[in-house]
Amino acid sequence: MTAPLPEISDEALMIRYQRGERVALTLLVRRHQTPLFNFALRQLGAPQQAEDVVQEAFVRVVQKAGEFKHEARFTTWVYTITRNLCIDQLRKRALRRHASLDAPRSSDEGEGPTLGEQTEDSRASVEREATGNELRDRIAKAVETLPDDQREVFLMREMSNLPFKEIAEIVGVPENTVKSRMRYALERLQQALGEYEEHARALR
Amino acid sequence: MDCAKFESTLIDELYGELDDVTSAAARQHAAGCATCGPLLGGLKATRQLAVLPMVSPSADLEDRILAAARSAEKVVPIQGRPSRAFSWATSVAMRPQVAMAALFLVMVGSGALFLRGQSKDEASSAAAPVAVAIQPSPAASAPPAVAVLAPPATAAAAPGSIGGAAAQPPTEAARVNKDDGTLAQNDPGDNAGYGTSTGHGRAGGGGLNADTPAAGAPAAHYKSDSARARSAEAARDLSSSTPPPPAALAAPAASAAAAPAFEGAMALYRAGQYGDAARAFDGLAANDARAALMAARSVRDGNGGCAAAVPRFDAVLSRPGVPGTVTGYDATLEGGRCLQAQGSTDAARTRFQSLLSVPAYTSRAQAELDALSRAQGQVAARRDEKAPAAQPTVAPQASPPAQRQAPAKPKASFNQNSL
Repeated sequence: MTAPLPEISDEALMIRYQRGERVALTLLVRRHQTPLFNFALRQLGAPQQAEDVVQEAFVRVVQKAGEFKHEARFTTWVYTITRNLCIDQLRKRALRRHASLDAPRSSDEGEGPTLGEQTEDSRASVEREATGNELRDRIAKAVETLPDDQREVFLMREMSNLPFKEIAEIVGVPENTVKSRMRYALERLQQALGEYEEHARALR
Repeated sequence: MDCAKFESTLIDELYGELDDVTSAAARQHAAGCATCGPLLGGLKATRQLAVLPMVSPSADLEDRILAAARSAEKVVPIQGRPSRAFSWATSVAMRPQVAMAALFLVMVGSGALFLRGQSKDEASSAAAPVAVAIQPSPAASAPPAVAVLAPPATAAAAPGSIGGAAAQPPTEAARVNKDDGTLAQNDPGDNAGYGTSTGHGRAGGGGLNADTPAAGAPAAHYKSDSARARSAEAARDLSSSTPPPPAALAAPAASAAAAPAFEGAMALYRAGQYGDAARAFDGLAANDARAALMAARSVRDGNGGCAAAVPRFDAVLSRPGVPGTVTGYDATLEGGRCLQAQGSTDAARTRFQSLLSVPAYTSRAQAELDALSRAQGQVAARRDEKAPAAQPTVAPQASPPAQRQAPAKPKASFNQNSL
């Protein structure tokens, strides 16, 4: 008896999709679209671009489904695709001389509110209760201002819960390098959010 | 744990990736270290503080993704991708059971290369005859070694028809070789070489040659060119004092019913009961050219001698379908020897010369021609000694050089269709 689709692993779903079960792809999309979107959103700062990246990532999964081996991890694969698509977007943006990651994020059509402002509506009530608007903006700003290599490691670890070993495979660097980047990212965030440290300790 | 060690495990401890023992040691060090304790606590606090909320994408993102995926599938259907098939094939091929089966097939296949098989031409002809050469050792103590290569359809009839010699069943190796007819036909050197060496090994020095219609010519050619000089059969062919063994038999597959009788006659022949053997072979000769040839040999080796055998050899040659076969060549050669023994040198020479173009018989025919020339030279010399001194200018030649050294045609081949 086969396991219900929601209980089986990503890799098993991918194998089923290789055999022609489209419902397996649907479940993979449902599982990973939100973490991938958030990863892309924090990298790019533009929700529409982030959604386009996620959509394109799954299209490439479909196109390369035949090459997927059951020994590989699906998350490693799909995050590698998404990361590469984000890098491509950032390069195109740099060529167009659009706003840098430190500047207020631009939407697809031009200048606009910051990422924190863009995402305020969907999470406003929860964040307001937890840290308040000021702290929320500072956190988002601090993460945005991290160097790219540190930010992507931070996002994959903190938001997607990927282990360091898998992050190292996605980024293509040794695992110790990933850990070093993680520590630098945390130290930067600690420095940027120092004044809220007491508030954080109070949360523990 | 010291501070340096703690530094190297800080991130792992922070994210719970240390084993229990190391994690306990790290916590113990941090608890007692004024530097490492605050460091770990500060980073833990930052982790708890720097939590980014999970933002939900647009509600229609899933639909858009799936629509785009279906479009991509239309370009390359998931089930029809060659890469998918390759992936499946490689995943199957890497299983240990498949690897063991492949290894077994390689072992069987490589073993088949060392077995003489039959060519496609032989296999395609259901009525292809079995050609067997039986050559006992010179000492006559070792039993004659026989090798049989027959198409599967005729293999069942072969054992009896050749006098109790064990015929190989149509094994898997033989079938492999049948399919790979190029081995037997295109590489005659290797094939004949293997057959010859095997024959020597099994016959204890006696000659063994198992000829099939297609592979027989190259096999015999190899033997005549390289191994024949040292073989016992060469001594037998050049020496009239040694009773000549049966040289070659061509056995039609239809003779299966007469096989026991033929074997009985062969037993008489081997026992030296040539008269009885001749009568037994005569009884089988109506439908079997081999029996007629053996009858001629029995007559020759018995009381009849060559005088009575020559007409029988000629009768074998006059049978339809015999010329161009091993039976016909043997009748020609042995008939020529009888003619030579009777002093009919011209007729003998004609027969030997007709065999120069047959690779399997070239060296034997040439040896007979050389012996014929030497004998004529000796006769001429004796005639010169007896001749009167008044005729000194006459210097008879034993034979023209062209006759002594008849050019061989090593590349001529059997007429396979006639076999």
